Amino acid sequence: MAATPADASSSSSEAVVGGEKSNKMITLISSDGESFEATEEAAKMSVTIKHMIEDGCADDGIPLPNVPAKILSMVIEYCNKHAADADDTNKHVADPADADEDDDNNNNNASAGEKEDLKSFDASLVAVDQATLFDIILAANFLSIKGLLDLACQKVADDIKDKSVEEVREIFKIENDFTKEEEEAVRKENAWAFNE
Amino acid sequence: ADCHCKTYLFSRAVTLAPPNPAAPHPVAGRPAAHHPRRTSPPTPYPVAHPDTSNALQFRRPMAMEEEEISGKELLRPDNSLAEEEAAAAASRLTDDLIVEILSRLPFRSVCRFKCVSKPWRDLIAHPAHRKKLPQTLAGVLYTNITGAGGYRYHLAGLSAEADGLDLDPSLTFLPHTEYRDFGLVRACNGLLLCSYEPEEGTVRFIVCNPATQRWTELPPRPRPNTCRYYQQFHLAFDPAVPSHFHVFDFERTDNLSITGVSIYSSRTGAWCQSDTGLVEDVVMVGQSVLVGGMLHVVGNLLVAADSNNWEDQTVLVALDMEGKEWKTISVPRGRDYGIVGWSQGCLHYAAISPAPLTVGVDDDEGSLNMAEEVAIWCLEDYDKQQWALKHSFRIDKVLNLNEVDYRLVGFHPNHDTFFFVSKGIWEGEKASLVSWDMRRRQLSCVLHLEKSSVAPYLPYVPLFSSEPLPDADGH
Repeated sequence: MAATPADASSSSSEAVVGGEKSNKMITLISSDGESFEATEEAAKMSVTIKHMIEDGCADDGIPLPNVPAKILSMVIEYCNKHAADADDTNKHVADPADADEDDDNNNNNASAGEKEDLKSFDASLVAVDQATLFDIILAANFLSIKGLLDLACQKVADDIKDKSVEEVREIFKIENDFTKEEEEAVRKENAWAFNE
Repeated sequence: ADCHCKTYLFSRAVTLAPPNPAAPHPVAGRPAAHHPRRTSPPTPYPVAHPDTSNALQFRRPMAMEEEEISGKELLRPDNSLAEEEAAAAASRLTDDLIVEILSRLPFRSVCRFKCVSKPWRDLIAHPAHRKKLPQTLAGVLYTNITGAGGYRYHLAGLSAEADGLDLDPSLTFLPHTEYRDFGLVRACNGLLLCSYEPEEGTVRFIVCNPATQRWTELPPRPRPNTCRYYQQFHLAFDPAVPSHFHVFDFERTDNLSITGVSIYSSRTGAWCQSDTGLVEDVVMVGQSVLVGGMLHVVGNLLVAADSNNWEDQTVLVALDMEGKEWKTISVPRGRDYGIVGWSQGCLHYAAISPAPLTVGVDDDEGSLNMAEEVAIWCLEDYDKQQWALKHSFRIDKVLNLNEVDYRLVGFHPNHDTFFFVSKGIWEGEKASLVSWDMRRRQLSCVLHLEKSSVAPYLPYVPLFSSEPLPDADGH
């Protein structure tokens, strides 16, 4: 996204006629007060934001008190990239407003090269530390961006899949509240799941 | 640490206040548009107060190159700030989000993580989450013939796994069960392939999911299979690619060796014919498993032993979902063809060994002649086609083969357990599903089946989540 100065009229509250893609810019405001701009198309990848736009609440910018700037910028990157991809397929779709529908639908008509590009973009987006990954999950959940939630949750799952119980406790900062006997009992029940 | 840091951290622990309706607006004169990779120096993260004037307070006039040196490192050289951020972020994950993460793990990992903490153990065991979490083998689906001569469908359920899942193995949700020659054909990763014959020589297919009760009937093949005997139908469905499934109908001439295949793709909704890509003569004889995006079917390869004699050699025929890539994988020799399966990340094959491998103290020449050894092989190196003998056991010592017949059924996907069905040879005897624990070298479970049970016996792992079948509204 180019860093162009916005003018006040870009946030004017024109209702979007259903089915038309608009070039309107939406202002999103992070919890720490930073403003970001996104196309309406990209912003609508968030079902939460989509509803706010449709309800006419987006006129003066949408405050997102749960999403800090660092995360919001990553979310917008994701939406920009995937909205552009969805655009290729949505040319065939009657109602492009439901941009949150299954991502595989978005990828179906994309060429092999575009698919690869999207995959590597997604991979690098979530190649971050655990804390950031958790924050992305929280933001994607709050904003109802299914594709991003799937992506981030899958990354965490891939990271922890082969980890030990102790390592998982460390990652999620969980205290072991089993007594020694209780823990032994659960371990015994699931002994086959541990590396012998 | 100095006071400044402590205060900052304390305020961070407080939940973010709801936004002041009057604020925040972009500060007058400052451009509202920002490149997501912001050019202004980063604020310490996160700031509780949405008031932009406070945010400005933390900003230092740093040069662009110093953007990467975040404020947090300057404040806390020992990185414990990162630790606390991680703790704060992790603690905000709700139960639903933990389940979202767990649902993407393999079954084995989820079982292991029951030991993480009591809340995790309870979360995993909670009935509300059971269907979202990865599944394991619920049991074996089979058919029985009722006294009135009708067919009924059952699940021989492994109780711990099948309980509480509300599975309907009787398939009452399918209108087709009363149709002419309706029967179960295959199960693959939670989907079932069934068939019926509206009239002699015409086969129609249904793919359904007993866990969600969704189903679809496939359109007829453009040109029916010329050979009506020894039909070979297979289902391929990969839950990692849940948007579509494929059904394979192998074509063969009357001498039974395959000439080609018709493949139905649920994505295109059409059948597509391909000629065989094999040079050898192969007869498809057994069941199949989906590995690495390719269907692997047990087949018999006719090999010339000498100029007058032919030998059957069991192979796996592997082909892709388009019917373009074909190959054969040799399997260890057995008395007859065996059972292929996928367990714990490896292709497995079970067959009766040509000669006994285990000799007991009570064996003599006579008993060794009657010996039947189940040999279980594991394909450790797929590319090199190197099978390793993983386990074997004398099934004639487990069952009294003077009184029972048996058939091999399949592998447990997560354990070293092998299933077979044994049935008394006398009229009216009930069959049992038997599971053999390879590690303990003993029977671990015997389930009695309904009277007059018949093949196919299909190991079944339920699927509750996204699937390529239409719902009641046809979506």
